[in-house]
Amino acid sequence: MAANLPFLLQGLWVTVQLAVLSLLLALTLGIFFGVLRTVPLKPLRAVGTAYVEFFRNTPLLIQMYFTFFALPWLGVRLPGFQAAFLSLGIYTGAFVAEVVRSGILSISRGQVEAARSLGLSYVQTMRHVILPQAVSITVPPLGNLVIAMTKNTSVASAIAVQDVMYNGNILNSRTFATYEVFAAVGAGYLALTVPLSFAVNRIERHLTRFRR
Amino acid sequence: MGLSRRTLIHSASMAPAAALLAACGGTTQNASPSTIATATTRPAGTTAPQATAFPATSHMAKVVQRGKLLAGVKQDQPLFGLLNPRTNQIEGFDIDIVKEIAKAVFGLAASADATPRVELRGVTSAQRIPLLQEGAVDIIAATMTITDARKLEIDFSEIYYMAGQSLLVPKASTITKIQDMDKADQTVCSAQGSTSEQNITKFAPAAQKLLFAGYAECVTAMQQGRAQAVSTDDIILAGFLEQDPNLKMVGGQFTQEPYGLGMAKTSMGFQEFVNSEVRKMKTDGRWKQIYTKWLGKVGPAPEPPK
Amino acid sequence: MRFDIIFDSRRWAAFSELSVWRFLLTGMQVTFTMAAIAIVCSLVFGLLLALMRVSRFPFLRWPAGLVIETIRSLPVLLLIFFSSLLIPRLGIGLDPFGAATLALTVYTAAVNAEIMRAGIVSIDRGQIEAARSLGLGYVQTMRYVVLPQALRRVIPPQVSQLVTLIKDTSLAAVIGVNELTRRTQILYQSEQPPNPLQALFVAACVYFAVNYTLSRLSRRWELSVGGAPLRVDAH
Repeated sequence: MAANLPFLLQGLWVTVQLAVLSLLLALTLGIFFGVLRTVPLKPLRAVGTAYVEFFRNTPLLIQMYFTFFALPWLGVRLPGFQAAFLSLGIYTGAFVAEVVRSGILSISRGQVEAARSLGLSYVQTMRHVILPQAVSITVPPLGNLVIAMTKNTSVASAIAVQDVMYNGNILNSRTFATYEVFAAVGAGYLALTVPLSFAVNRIERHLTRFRR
Repeated sequence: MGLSRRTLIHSASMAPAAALLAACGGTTQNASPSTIATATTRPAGTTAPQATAFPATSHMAKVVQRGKLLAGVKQDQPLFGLLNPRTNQIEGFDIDIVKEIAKAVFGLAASADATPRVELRGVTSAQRIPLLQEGAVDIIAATMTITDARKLEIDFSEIYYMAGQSLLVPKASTITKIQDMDKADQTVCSAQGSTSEQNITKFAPAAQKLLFAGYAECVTAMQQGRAQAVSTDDIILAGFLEQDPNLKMVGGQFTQEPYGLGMAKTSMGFQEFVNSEVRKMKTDGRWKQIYTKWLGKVGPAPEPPK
Repeated sequence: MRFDIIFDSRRWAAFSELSVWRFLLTGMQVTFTMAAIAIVCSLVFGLLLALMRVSRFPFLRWPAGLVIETIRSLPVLLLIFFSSLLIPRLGIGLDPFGAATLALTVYTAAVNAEIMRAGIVSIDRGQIEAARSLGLGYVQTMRYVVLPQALRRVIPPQVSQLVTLIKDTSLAAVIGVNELTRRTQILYQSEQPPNPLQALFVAACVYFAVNYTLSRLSRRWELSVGGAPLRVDAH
């Protein structure tokens, strides 16, 4: 069993890579569409809403199957990892957009007006009034999204991405040591999600230390 | 004073457990639920189930008492076990074999329709043996190869079909045998948890492997150029040949894959019964009939395997 | 990009047949059954776990906390594999449907435990103190003061969890359960020419219709009831 550990760790490394890259994509898309939903132009807001509502309400597995099995018919044939990263990024991005939108909307208009009337410029208002509060509001939910996304990387095993779940399945069919193999896979995920949970809790307590 | 918390929790936890068990036991999610034919609707010429013919401790008696044979079959394998989207029934070679077994258990004549006495459950390669071991199905007829490792876990019937592993490639491919795939730049697709996957490692160790939950996804992947070949038993590949004329089968049978029906080691007397039935089928022409019905396109019915 | 494939009528032809829709909607029935069993069972077990979690007895709090956090930190797909491959070895007869439903129930129960715990602790301390000073015992306080309010507050996060649950039922396709996603796969793999683009899109729309409706209903409830929304970690 110990001899098979490197194989699982290889898979875990793929899981981490997938999570990190998907996070970057998710943040990019999420911030873009989240802000888009707060602009004064209705058609632009509608586009943002369509993105958020469609990708939040449909299963990730269907999105991954689509990216992997359906897109090739349009001429876009992505390898497993890329298809998974694209799907996971778009899916998580919809959730990020929601968090960003709530964050922006939660800063009351009154504060912005007060800051401007005190003579602060737009940049100064952003820097000293809006962003600090926006960060402390959005970082905890974003942290939780990161944890959820790390777990969602497991779905990539269905499109043959060689992450820790896929490698675990291969090991299981080779060795029939089901308990050990899947306990190890579970431990692998816990090794990622539990520290993240602690970190999110810590950050949240730090950011809200003046509000308690 | 209201209910104490303990009582509340106790009664609350009983209800969902019962519902869960009821839902689990009563739900079939593929073929239409089986019902027991009543005396008035039994087709002419059939006899009553010979429950008393089986010893009380035998597995057959259990099946007769339950009223139906639970069979685990593939549902995504053309020709052997495929769920027809339009009729919502699973159909195939394995299904017909299992129906004959059911007819024998319930004492129906060869001409009778065994469909009401059989409940088909779709299984994947990885699920076959665990489901059999815990009694969720009586018998497995799911393109399962007899191997020594599996013999440790379950009982097999005698060989009911001799397949061999082969390669499915696009028509334009230059690959002619499994050894051609033994290069690092070649990708072979197969199913997780199958002997096919392990044979690929044996015969083409340098090849990359792509593994999905089922072979149908493999064929799709190969059509998209993600793999150069799909490898599994030739009969499974033949089914996909029917669906897509742009494929061809090459490499002959580079392994011998004897298919056996699977039974749990705890099924008393079942293995002998099933074996005698399979032998009867091979000698009285039913085997050839079933072969011609499903595999007629592949070629004329050969002699049944020993 | 071959956009003509999107509008090819041969690939949409399957969806003009009633039998195909019946096939897919039977899958949706399976999806709903799994989700219904899971949500009902998980509400009960979740409440139980939550009560243990807020109990004043450390020997109840700590194990409950450990169980909740471990299950919430694992992917649902892993729980489904655990359930389908390991539970049978314990001698319990479970087909893929049962295994998937069990896994979903366990996961949702852990999440619900957190939701309910958040709901319980969100009840103003002052109410509890007032109730105790009026002579109500611990159980009575829970039953008449805390839980009624807490349970009403947890409905929006619960509906959001139901939406997640309905999406997670699609993972059962990987172990062969014939719910909507798997049937969609079977359909597009058996069509000539294969139409994953069209079929997966239709399936996505079905999920979308169900989940979006649920979300809107929940939002309307939230607005009509008023009060501060309960923030629960989206694990």
